Amino acid sequence: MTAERVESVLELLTYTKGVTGVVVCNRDGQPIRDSFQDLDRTRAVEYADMAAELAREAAPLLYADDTLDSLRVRSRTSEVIIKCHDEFLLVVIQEFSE
Amino acid sequence: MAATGGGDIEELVKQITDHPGVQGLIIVNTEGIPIRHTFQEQSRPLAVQYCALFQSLAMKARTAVVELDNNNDLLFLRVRSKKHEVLVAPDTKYLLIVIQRVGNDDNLPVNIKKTP
Repeated sequence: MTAERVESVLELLTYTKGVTGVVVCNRDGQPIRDSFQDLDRTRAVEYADMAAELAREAAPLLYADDTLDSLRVRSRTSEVIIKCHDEFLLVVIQEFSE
Repeated sequence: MAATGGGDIEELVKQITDHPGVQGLIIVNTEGIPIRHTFQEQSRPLAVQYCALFQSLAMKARTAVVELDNNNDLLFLRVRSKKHEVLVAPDTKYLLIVIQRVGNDDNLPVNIKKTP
């Protein structure tokens, strides 16, 4: 995937209806890029840390010949979708309307 | 899941297990004991293992959700791998775990366009 391709996919995700945030982070929970507007990246750090922790916790639950593909954590107000890759995690946050 | 007897639970179990692709179902209580599962009896150790592992994951996910927002709570959790998908529905007293097969794109009712 070229850099332009990555940019267009991230932009597509960011402006999808209902999506309130997109974070790309590594497996250690350090955000590489995000769509939030706060300068200190507080929310990006929080979501990246959550995603890395859950991905780490979920990996041993699978069979030896299986690999983790994605996680979806649905809460009362939002759903966090974590797409897993060998090196990176893609986190998409969707908000629900009442 | 009130104490209305086994009828409602059996109806629920049948409704879920009859769904195409569902491979297993487990209902866990707060002590982590599987009170109901559809595995073969010789696969009971597997059911117990699923209970312990996914109960721990659900608790971790709930902690993460509450950390982000104190007024929030975990409603549902899906763990998808290359071959299986595990659905976890936590409640105050029970935990429902459903294991289903991940179908190929050919099995989907709607054709999904592949991104080039």
